[in-house]
Amino acid sequence: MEKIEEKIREIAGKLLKDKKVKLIIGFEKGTLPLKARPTFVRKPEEVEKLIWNPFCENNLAVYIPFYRRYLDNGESIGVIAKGCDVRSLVLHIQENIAKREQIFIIGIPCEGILDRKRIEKEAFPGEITEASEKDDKILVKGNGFEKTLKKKDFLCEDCIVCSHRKPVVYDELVEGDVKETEAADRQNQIKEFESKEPDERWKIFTEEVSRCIRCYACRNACPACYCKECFVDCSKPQWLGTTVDSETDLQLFQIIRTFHLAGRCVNCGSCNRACPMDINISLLVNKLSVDAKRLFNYETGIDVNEKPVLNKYSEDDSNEGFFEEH
Amino acid sequence: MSRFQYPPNIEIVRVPCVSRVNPLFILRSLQHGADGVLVAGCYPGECNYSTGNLYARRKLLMLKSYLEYLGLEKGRFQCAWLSSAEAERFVKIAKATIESVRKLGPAKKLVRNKFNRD
Repeated sequence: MEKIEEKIREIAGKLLKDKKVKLIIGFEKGTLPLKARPTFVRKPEEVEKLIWNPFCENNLAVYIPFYRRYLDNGESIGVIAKGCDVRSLVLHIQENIAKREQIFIIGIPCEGILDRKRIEKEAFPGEITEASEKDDKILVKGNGFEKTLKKKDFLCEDCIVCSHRKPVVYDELVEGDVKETEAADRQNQIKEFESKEPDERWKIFTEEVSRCIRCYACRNACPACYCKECFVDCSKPQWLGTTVDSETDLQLFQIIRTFHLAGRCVNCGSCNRACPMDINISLLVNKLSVDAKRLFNYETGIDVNEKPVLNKYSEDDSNEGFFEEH
Repeated sequence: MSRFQYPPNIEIVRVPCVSRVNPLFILRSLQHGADGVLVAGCYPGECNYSTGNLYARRKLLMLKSYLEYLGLEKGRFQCAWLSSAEAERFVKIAKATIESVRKLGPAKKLVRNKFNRD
């Protein structure tokens, strides 16, 4: 990781010195032990604080829609992006938030992000005060205990079935050797759920979603959720209530928010990691990616010049499920 | 419609084109008392606005597949290609849809009930 960190700081320092970008978005050491903190570097001296490790769990592309004041002025922004972040950036370029020249992508091949919640559970009832990682091990320390864990046992679910660990598009690529996984794994998870009866599936879905407290952490963490007025905030018409009293409102919120990501979600897992109630949002969202691939042969965020899947049509689209004459 | 008789338990909501249909319309009707929803649009290639139904086809395909995946019964949300000139076919589709929804029974999933926690 040190080699990657040195390279990041070198690239970032050069970009800021040459004034090629106005701002670089990356990670720095945070105050919590298992989480890196997103940081915004504007001066070449500040690049020393940039780090890279498997605790860098946020999807940094989420900040791009907030910098329209720079982007509309023609300025550029640099982003230190892992595989999924890069595809979210490509999505933003496809949807005209920024032009390709305005985003300087420093691509990092990612081996996967560690699941902070599972690690905390492993150390429970002890509280982790320090955590570090080296090679394939994680070392956690707390009040009176120390544990060494294997990295590969604690990867995030979405990272295990990641389809694009290497950045698909980049301006500078930091060297690293990662193997791509078989995308079929995600389909196996979907098939397992689909093999159940509809009533059972509904029961699992509603029980999962009944824990939702409408904090909107998932919406705030998601790079594809950047609408100026979200459908939950719309009052004319008010589509759904704002409280957690109504179970069907919670179901509706989850269904519609995830459906608005149809063909736009890159399965980075930020929503899962952000959710304070541990809702398995991947269960919902993976189906949409698998469907986009199956019905329209589309994968999100691969080609900068492509349009998002629901922005196009083909005369040969299937009529699956449409009314059949009896 | 052209003086054909069709069952009264169908409520028609007119839209200028099927691409005006927002997934929220469908889910909100299921939440607020509809036992089934039928979305009908012009045949692909015959859209009044030339391409609206082709965009809507993608959207409705994904929505239908998603709702059925989550466990909504297969007959509750139906889509059909229908021309506004085909009154007889409209009656046939309306009757068939009502029959299939009646077989499924009253909606229990996604229904907002004033008297429970919901």
